[in-house]
Amino acid sequence: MLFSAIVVYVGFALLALNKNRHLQQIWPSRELHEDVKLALDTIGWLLLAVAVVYQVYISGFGNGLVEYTAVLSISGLILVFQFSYWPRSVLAIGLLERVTEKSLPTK
Amino acid sequence: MKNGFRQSMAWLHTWTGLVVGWVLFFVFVTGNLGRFDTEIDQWMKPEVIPQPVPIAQEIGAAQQRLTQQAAGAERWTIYPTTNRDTPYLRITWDTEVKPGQALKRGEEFIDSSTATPLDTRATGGGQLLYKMHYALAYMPRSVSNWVIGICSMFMLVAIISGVITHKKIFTDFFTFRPNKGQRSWLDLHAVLAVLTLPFFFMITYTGLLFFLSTLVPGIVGANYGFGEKNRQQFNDELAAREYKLDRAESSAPLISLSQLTAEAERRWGEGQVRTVEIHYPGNQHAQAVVTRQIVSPLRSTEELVFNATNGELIAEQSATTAAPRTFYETVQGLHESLFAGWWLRWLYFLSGLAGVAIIGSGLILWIVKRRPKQLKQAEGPDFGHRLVEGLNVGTIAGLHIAIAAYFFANRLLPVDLAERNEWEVHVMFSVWLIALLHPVVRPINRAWIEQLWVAAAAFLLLPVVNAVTTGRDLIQSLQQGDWVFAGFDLVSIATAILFAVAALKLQQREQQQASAPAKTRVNRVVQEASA
Repeated sequence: MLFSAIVVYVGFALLALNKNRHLQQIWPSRELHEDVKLALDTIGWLLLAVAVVYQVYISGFGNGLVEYTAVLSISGLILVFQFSYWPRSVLAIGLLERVTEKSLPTK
Repeated sequence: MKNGFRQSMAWLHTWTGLVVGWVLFFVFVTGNLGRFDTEIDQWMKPEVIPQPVPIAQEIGAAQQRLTQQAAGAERWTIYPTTNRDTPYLRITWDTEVKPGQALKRGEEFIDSSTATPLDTRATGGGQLLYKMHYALAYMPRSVSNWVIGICSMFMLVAIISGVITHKKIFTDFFTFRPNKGQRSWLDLHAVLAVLTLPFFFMITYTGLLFFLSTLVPGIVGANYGFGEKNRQQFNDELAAREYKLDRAESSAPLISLSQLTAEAERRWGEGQVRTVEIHYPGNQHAQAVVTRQIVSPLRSTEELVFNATNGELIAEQSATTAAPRTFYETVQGLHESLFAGWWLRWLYFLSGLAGVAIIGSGLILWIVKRRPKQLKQAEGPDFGHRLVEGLNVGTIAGLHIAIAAYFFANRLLPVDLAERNEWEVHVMFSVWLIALLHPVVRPINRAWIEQLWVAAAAFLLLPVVNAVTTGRDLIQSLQQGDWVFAGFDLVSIATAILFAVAALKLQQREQQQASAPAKTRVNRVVQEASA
C-alpha cells in the first residue's frame, strides 16, 4: 500500500502543479509552458491509473479498490495541507532545489 | 426555499445538515472510535492481558461453560481468539423467551484455563462506545433505530445536495486557504468532503442500509409476512440454508466441538476458524456451523455445516450466495471494515476523522456566516443563533470531554461498585450535559476556550491516570512493544495537543480583537488631538 500511496501522491502533486494557483504557492509569479502543462497532466493521470492497477494486482479486486480509495483520500489531504502551510515541502521540492542548487522550473 | 436549482440545493444542504449535525457528530466520533473497539476493550480491562491459547482448548472451555450455562438454548456461538476482533474468548447464547418473539441473548467472556467467566472489572469497554454510534444511549433500539435511520437519510441528502452546491469541485480540488475566516471554514469543509467523498458517501449509504428492515419493513413483509418467524425464514432462504432442520423430539449429546474445528483447520489452514455456531445444542437435530475468517469486504464467509451429534459433514457453503445477499454483505463489510489490516484500519480511522471534521466545520460555518449580522442587532443574537452556538461548543468540544470522562470513570470508579459498567455511561453523559449547559452561563468565546482547554487537559491527564492506576506507563508499553496501551496513550496525547492548539488560536484571536478596537480609539484620540 505504501508504494501506491507514493505513486498516488506524486500523481496528485503533478496534477496540482498543473494549476497556476498551486504552482505559484511554490514559485510565485511563474507560469508553465502549455506543453509542460500537458505533460504534467498526462503523467499525473497515468500515475493515478498505475496505482489502481498495481493495488488491484497485489490485493485483489475488492480489497485493492478499497485500499486505493483510502490512499487517494489521505494522500490528497496531506498534499492539500502541505500546499497551505509548507508549500516547498511538496514533493520535497525545497530539498531538491537546495541539493541541485537551482530553481526547478527554469525558464 | 430559493429560486434556481443550485440555490435550492444550497438551502437543502444547509438545513438538513444543521438539523441532524450534532447527532451525526456523535455518531461519527463514537463510530470512528469503533475502528479500534477491541483495542479500547483491552485498555478498559487492564487486569487481563490476552494470551495465545490453542484453539482446541478454547473450544473445549467454551463448550463446557455453555453446557452449564445455556443447555436449553436455541443457539450457541463461540468466538475463539483467532483474530483481532476477539481479544478474549467469547460466548453468546440465544434463548427463546416466548414462541414467535425475538430470542434473548446472553454473553460472557471466558477464561479458557478454568472455563469460568473472565475475572475483570465491569465495563462497557470499547464495544459500548462503538454500539452508541448506532444504538445511542438511554433508549430502546426501537426508538434509536428510527433516530439514526432518519439522521442517516438526512445525511445522505446533505451529501448529495452538498456536491451539487459545490460549484468548483475540480478547480478547488487541492485548495485550502487558512487564516481567512469564513473562506477558510468553507475551504476546509469542502476540501475534506471532496477528497474523502468515496468514504463519506459509502459510510453514510451503507450505514443507512443497516436500518433497511426498520425503515422499510414492507419489502420483506409483503412477501414473507411480518413477525420473527417469517423474518427468520427470509434470512434462511437468502443465505441458502436448505440444510437447516427443525428441532427433533428426541435429545442427543453433542460431540466434542474441537473435533469439528480441527477438521475445519485441516481444510482451510491453521487459524482460519472465525466462529462456531451450534443450533439446538443437545437435540437430535443439533447442527454446528463453522465459519472462516473474513479477508475481504465481503462479510459472509465460507462455512462448514456439521451434524453436531456425530460430526458428519452436512454441507459446504460458499462465501457468495444469492446476488442481493452478496451485495448486501459486501456493503456492510465495507462499513464494518472487519477485513482491514493495520494500515487500512488506520486509513479508515483517518477518513473517519475527516468525516468528523466535515460535520464540525459545517456546523461552525453556519454560525460564522451569520455571526456578523447577528452581532449588529441591538438586542444581541437571536435565541436560535445562540442555541446553535451553544450546541456547537457543547458537542464539538464537550463530547470529547465526555468521552475522556468515560475513560477516567473506567480507571477511577471503585471496582466493586454495583452496576459499575452503567456508572461509566452515567459519568460520560453527566459530563456531556454539563458541557452542553456551560455555554449558557458563559460568553460564547470564553465557553469555546474553556472547553477546549478542559479537553486538552483531560486527554493529557489520561495517560498519567492510566500509569498511576495500572502501572502500565507509556515508556514501559513502548519498551515492551505493547501497542494497544502505547497507542492509546499516544493518540490521547495527540488529541490533547490538537485541542490545546485550537484553544491557543482562539485565545490569540480574542486578544487581537480586544486590542484592535482599542487601537482605533487611540488613533482617533491622536487624530483629534492633532486636529
